[in-house]
Amino acid sequence: MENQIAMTANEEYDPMQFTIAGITGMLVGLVSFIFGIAIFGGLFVAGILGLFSIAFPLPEFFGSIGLQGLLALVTGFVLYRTSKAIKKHELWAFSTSLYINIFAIVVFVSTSYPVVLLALLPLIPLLMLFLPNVKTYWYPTFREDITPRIKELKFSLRLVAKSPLVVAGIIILLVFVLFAILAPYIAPYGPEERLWSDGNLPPLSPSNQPGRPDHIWGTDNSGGDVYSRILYGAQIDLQVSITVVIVAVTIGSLIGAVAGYYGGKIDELVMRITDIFFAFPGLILAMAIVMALGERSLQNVSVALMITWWPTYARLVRGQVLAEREKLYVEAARSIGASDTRILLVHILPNTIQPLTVQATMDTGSVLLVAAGLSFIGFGPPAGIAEWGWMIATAQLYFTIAPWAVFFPGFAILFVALAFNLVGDGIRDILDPKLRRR
Amino acid sequence: MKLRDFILRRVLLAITVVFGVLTITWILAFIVGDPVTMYINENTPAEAIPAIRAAHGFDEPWPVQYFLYLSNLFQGNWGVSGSSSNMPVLEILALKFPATIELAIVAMIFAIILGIPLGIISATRKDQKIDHFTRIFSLAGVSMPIFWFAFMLKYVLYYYLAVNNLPHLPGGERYDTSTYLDFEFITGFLLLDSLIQGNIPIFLDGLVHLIMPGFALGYLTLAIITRMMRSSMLEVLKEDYITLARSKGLREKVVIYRHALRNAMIPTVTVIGLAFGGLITGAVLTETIFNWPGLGRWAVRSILFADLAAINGFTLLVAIIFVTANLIVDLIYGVLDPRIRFG
Repeated sequence: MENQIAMTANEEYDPMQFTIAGITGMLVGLVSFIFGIAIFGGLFVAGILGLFSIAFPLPEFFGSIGLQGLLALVTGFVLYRTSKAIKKHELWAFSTSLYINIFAIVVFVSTSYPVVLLALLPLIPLLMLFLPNVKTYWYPTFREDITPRIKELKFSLRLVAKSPLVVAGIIILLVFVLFAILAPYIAPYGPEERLWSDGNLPPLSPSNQPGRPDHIWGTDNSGGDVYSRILYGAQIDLQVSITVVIVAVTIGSLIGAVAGYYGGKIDELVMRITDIFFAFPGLILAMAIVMALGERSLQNVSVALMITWWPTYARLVRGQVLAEREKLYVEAARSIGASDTRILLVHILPNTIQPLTVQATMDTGSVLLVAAGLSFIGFGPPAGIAEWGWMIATAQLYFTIAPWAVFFPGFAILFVALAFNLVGDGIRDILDPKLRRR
Repeated sequence: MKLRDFILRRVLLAITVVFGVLTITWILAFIVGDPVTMYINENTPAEAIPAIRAAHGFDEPWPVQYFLYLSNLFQGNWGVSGSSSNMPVLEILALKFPATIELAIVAMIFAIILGIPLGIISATRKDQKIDHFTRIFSLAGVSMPIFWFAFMLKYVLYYYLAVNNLPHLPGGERYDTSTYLDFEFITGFLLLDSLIQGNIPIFLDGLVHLIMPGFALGYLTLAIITRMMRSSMLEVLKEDYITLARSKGLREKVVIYRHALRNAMIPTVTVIGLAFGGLITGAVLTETIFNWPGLGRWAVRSILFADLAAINGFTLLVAIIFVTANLIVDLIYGVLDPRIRFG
C-alpha cells in the first residue's frame, strides 16, 4: 500500500510501463484462454458425447492433450486476471505473473508440435516484468519473500536425501515410470504378442522361434513374454492408480472444504454421506460399482475406485479446514472483504496440502493393490491386456508349472506399492514440524 | 454427555448409515444396473422380459420400487441366486457365513498375538536392528497384494514340499474331504462342531487347514496392528506420566506393561475393529486361492456368472457387519476413554 502511494506521488515510476506490461499479459492470457477453449472445449464435447456411446478415455486423459487444453484454459484466465492487477499496480500480481508465465511456457512447450511457437508468447509479459521501472517496484519485496522459502525447500530436500528409505522409494518409482514410458523401446515383445510355441518357458530360456530375443523372465501359458508384459503393465497400473487418486483428491477436497467451511447442515449431510461410503470395505464397494456398471473396462474400474476413495479426502480436508477457519489470518482476509471462494481456495486450502500429500501418496499404493485385486477376481481391463493383476489371474491356473508368471507381476505390484508407502511415510516425517528440527 | 446418551446417539447414527447402505446398494443395482437381469438368463425369450419386469414391479415409478426393495429386504426376501441353482440368497449367506467368519477370526488371532508384541518390541527398541526388521516386515505387509502372497505361501508350503515328499500343509479346503465325508455340521463352525462332538482328529485337521489361509489373510492386519502399536507406543512413551513412573524408580517392564500399554492400546483397539472389514475384503481374495467354501469364493463365482442378486446380498451383508463392528468399537472406545463422549 505504502509503495503504491509513494509511486503515484513519485514521478520516477512510469505508469506507462505498467500499463504495457499489464496489457501484453492480458493479451497473452486471452490467447492462451482461447487456445485452451479450442482444445479442451472440443474434447469436452466429444467426451460428453462419448459418455453416451463409447467410453470416455478417463485414464488416458492425464498426459493427454485434453489436460493441456484445460491447463491452458486455466493459465489464460489467471494470467488475464493478474495482468489486469498489474495495470493497477497491485503488488501481489507481479510474483504471480512471474510464476504463471513460466507455467504457461511449460504448458505450451508440452503441447503438440505446431503450437510450440506459442511458448514464445508468455516470454513477452515475462520480459515486461523486468522493465527497469517495473522491476524496482516489485523485485525487492519479492526477493525478501522468496529467500526463506528457498532455504526451507533446500532444507527439506536435504532431509529427503538423508533418509535412505525415501530415496529408495523415489528410485523405485522413477524406475517404474521409466519402464512405463520406455516400454515400447526396451520391451523385446509386444504387450499382447503371443508366441504359442513358447508357452510356459522358464526364465532366461531362448525363444523357440528363430531370431527372437530370449525370455528373461519366462513366458506365461499362452506364450506371452512376462518381462515385456510387466513393462507395458506399468503404463496401465501407474496410470490408473495415479489418475484415480488425483481425481479423488480433487473431488474429495473440494467437497470436504465446502463442508468444513460452511459447517451446519451441509457439513452434517456430507459427513453422513461419507459415513455411508465408509461402511463398505474398499474392494467390495468398487466391486459392486463395477458390477452395476456392467461392462469390464479400465474406465469403469477407475470410476469405481474414484467413487470409493473420495470420502477419505473429504474427511481429511474437512478436519483441516475446521481447524484452519478459526485462525486469525482467515479473519484478516475476511475483514478486508475477500470472498468465501477466495478465502477457501487461496488461503485455507494451501494449508491443508501437507497431510493431503501424505495421504494421497500412501493411497496411490493402496489403489494399486485394490485395482490389482479387482482384476484378479475378474473386474479388470478386458482380457488379454497386460495388467499386473490380470497377469496373475490368468497365470494362477498354471502356477504349478509356471510359477514365474505369477511371481514377477506380483513383485512388480509389491515394489510399486512399497515405494509409494515409503515415500508417503518419509514425506510425513519430513513435513512433521515436531520431527523436523531436532 | 452421559454414557447412555452417547450409546443412543451412536446406535441411531449406525441405523442411519445402514439405511444409507441400503440406498446405495439399491441405486447400484436398480438405477445403474438393470434389476431384471436377476430373473432372466440367456434362454429367456425377449418377449417375456416385460412381463417379468412387471411381475417384480420394476416398471413402477422409482419411489415405489425403493419401497418394494426395502420391504423385500426386511421380510427376508433377498432374491434368489441364479448361479447357485436358484437358492434364496439369504439361505446361502447363512450357509457360507461360518466358514468365512472362522477364517477371519483365526486371521485376527494371528494378527493380534503377533502384532501387539511386535509393535511393543519395535517401539521400546527404537532404531535398533529388531525395530528395522519389524518396520520392513510391516511395511511389506501393507504393500503386499494378498492374493499374490497367498500364492507364494501355497507354492512353498504346499506344492514345493509336497513334490519333494516332505511334510506339508494342506493346499486348500476346510478339511480333508476324503476322510471325513460323513461329518455333520451343527453350527457351521468346523472347530466348534468337532469339539462339541468330541471329534479331536477332525478338530486338528481343521486347525491345520486354517494355518495357511489364516496367516495369508491376517498378514495385512498384522502389519497394520504392528504399525499402529509402534507409533502409539512411541507417542505414549513421551508422556509426562511415563517420565514420572520412571523417575519413581519403577522397573522398565512395569513402566511399559502397566503404565504405557493401557493407553497405547486405545488406538490399536480401534484399528483392530476397523480391520475386521479389511479381513472380509481379504477373504474374497484368499478364499478363491485356498478353495475355501466361504462367502468370498461364492461372491467371486457369482461375479463370473453376473449374478446381481448374489453380489447385492453379499455387499449388504459385508456392509452391515462392517457397520456393526465400527459401532462396537465406538462404544468400547467411549467406555474406555470418557473424553470421546464429549467429542
